[in-house]
Amino acid sequence: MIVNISMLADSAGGPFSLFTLFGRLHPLVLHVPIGAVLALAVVELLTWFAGFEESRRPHGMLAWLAAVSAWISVSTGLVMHANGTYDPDDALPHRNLAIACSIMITLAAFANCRSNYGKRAGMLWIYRILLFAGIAAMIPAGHLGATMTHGEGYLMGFSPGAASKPESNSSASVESAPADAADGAFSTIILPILRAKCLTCHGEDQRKGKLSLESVESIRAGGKSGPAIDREKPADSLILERIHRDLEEKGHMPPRSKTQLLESEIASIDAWVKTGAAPNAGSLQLNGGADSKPAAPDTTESHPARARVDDGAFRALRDALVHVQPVKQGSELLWMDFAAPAARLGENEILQLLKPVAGDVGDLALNRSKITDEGMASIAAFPRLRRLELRSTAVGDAGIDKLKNHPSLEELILTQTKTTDASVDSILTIPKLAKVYVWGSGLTPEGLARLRAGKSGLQVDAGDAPAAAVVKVEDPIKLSGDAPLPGAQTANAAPANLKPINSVCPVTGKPLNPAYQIVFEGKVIGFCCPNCPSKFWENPAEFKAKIPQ
Amino acid sequence: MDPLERHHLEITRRRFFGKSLQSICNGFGVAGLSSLVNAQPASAFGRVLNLNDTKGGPGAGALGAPHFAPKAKRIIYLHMEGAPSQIDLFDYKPSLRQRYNQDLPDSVRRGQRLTGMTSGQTRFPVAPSIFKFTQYKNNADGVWISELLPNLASVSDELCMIHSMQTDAINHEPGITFFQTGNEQPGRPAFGAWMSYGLGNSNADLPCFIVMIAQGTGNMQALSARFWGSGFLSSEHQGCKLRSGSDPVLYLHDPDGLKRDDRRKMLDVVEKLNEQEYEQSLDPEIRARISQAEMAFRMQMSVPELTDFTNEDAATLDMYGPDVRKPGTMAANCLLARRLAERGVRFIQLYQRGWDQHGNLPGEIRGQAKALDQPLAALIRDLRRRGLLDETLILWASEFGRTVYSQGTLTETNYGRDHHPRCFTVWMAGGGVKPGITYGKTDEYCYNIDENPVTVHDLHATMLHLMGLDHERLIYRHLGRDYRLTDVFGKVVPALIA
Repeated sequence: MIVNISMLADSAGGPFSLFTLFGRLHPLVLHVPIGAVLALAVVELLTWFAGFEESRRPHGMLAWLAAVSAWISVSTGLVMHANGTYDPDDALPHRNLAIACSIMITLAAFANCRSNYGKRAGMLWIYRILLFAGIAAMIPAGHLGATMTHGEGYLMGFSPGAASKPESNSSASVESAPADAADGAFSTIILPILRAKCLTCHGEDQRKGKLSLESVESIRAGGKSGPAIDREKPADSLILERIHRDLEEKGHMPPRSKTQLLESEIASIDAWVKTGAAPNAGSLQLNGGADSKPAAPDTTESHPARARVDDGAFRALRDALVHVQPVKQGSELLWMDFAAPAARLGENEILQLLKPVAGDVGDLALNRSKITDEGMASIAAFPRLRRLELRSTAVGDAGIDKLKNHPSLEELILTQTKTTDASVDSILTIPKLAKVYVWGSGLTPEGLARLRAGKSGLQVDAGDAPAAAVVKVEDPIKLSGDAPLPGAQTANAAPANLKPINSVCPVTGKPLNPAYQIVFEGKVIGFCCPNCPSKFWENPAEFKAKIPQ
Repeated sequence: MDPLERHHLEITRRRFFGKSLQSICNGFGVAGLSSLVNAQPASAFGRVLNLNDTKGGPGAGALGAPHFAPKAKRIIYLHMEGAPSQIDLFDYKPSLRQRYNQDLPDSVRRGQRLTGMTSGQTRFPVAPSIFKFTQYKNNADGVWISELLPNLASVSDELCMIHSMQTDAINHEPGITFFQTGNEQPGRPAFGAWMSYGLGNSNADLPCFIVMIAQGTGNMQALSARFWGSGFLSSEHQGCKLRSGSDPVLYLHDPDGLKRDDRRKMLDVVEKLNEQEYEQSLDPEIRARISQAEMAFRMQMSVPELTDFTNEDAATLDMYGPDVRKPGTMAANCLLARRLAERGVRFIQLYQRGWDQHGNLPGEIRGQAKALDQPLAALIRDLRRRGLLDETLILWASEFGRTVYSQGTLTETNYGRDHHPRCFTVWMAGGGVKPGITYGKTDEYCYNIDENPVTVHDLHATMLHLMGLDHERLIYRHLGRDYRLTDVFGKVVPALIA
């Protein structure tokens, strides 16, 4: 029994077609309550002002028609919302207003019944207020609904005050866009990303903020906040600023509640915009910036690459007990640590395991492993490597030589390796390197000095950090009790020996317990229990009046 | 098993109502409401984690990855059981030297609660520290450290000293429980267990949460195993204690004559039987049992390698001091902590017992500090030069501090101190904390906090932040309630973060 119910309930969530059909009826049925409510309002106004007092019969019928059809509209709307993607900025107020309106109309229908054909004046007034309040909620609800179906500016776009220029401008671009984008980087790489993450709101249909990202032209034209791409300084383009803005900050795109762009997708958009946002640059090298090394594999591939790294590669790593974890949630960059299998895996096995994920390795720890200079050739080709740990391995100068000019390496741990002075020059060629650890390696003091002098901003740790310097030593200690007491305290005597000036506890009014006394403004005050003194100190002014002066 | 019956077993009352309501809500498109009743813990499983089915990769955590890029990958937490005197170690109060044997003014004490050990005292005489302090250079305006810790002082440019720590507990058991689990009552998971649950280990051959205890020379309090328990989390997250004797983990060695292959075969058979039992009862603890048996099998190899110091060079051993060859000393445990950090263990918990100096403090604290000082400084240095310190967060803490007034008789050479939760000193190092600073201030009597109080929940929130975790999103639902390490409190202290 239990099982059956829950299974039924489960299937109700599935996308079966009758349910969807019910939802799609929303744009149709919603007109029934609107019509009924407006008719009711007209009839009510007529009865009220034109004096058709005797005929209140149609009111009840219209009110119930409005209430019932309003609830049907609400339910179809909810189903429709569940099956589609609508901008929550519009959809949620629309939903809330519609529900509020339905509630008020239903209550109005009840009130109308209770008013006994208008004979009970109090109920009649409640009915009228509810009815017009319902209409007040219905108007913005209807407007938001229309905004979702017809797009922003559908109504007011042709009002006398509105500027019609951007409208006509971008409608011209709609025609030219598909031809422009044919076969270019835009349509093959950028557009699919935009379609998945942006076009629901910023498509030709919706144009939120008057921005459409559907074609290169319309992106350049931009929206309310100006052109999305700065043609003079592409790196400062608005579109980049918005997608890079902090997630918590207002204006971050896509909005926080929506599916966010992946790092690789951001990188692709970055590269595309920064290289001029060309519509048909089929040969465009999207490698994360114009100045980066051409040898690095381009990030155009990094999105499809996710599909190429099959789960089998991760399974193999896990089976070998290699630690593999994204550096943070939502990132594709991996932190890998070979600590567990370090002693078991041969160099070829390590490289074999790393091969399928090579493009995604960020932090790599190969400490105590069997990696050698030969294997370093493969490691050095990892394009996004940020931190490399080679502690206690056989890696030497030949291996470090392969890391020359590595584009992304920031931290390098070479402690207890065979590295010697010959590696200093190779290390100094790594452009982004910020930290290097060389304690226990073959570096001589001269080599170390050369390494330290070679690059400003490079932190070199050779295990020779000096002990913290002494600033000041305290004078020989002399103990005395002659410092004056702080605050209003004057007597040096122990208060327990003195008699309190009060006879009952100022907090509770109970008799005093000699164990609990304090000195306050030079007077000894007694209390009944250990809790009262702290209450007293919290707010002495409150209890001061209760102490005899 | 009959699939219908299995389905029936898996449906608990809460899950049934939750799921039915969820389906109904989904049907009506009230997505927000359905997520409210969704019983799954809130976490965005990464792509990689999708592989992590019920059996999972060994050591993988429930979050799959930290919430944001972490500064620290692991924690070494040194807990000084008994509560050392902040007045004699770190919180320099030179003006108290002129208040020797004066009574503690009530305007300072403000009727605050005392333990039963001193609440009956007729006098509360101020006992200034008799230890000489020296100011060392750090990255701010210098830090005063007492003559008891000269070696630690030499790495003061790495210490992020918090003088304004405060806690709610006034006795050891609830105090330690609070520091370890974020709650004074026992029963919640320890910090390390939360790490194991959320992040998992980066070395599948060793437990994620390892505990080591060094005996002290002073007055010692009991250390219950629940301080490293997993509470309501699955039992595989509990801390594993490394013992000081010749056998660091009991019952790990195979009996003589049993080959490793035989052990493997035996485990395979036992696993099959356990899987059968799991199919019958669907008790998740059976899965935990299977994974722990596998962990123990791997530890048969990894633990002897871990505890074997023969490949440490003489200079390194000397750095940790002469006690390093004696298992169970602070020196040996600090070296082990470094070896564990090197091997990727996520949470390393060290206890030093014997800081509970109610009487005869000057004598006892000398012995305790001597056993601690050199190994502690060596640990920081050793981690630093190996490139481990920047990714390893060290916390040195105790359950509370000690009073400025003397418990028992005060003389010019001897005094005792009672428990004091209102203010005490802890410090952190490495792992993304701001190095070489002091934070917070106590009043002249070292009794109340004048500036920037830090609660235990704040400290936990800050440490979780350094580990890349939002303390409000490391959640486990138990008995219908969401639990966090920081309960419903805690604020990250940005001033402590580099």
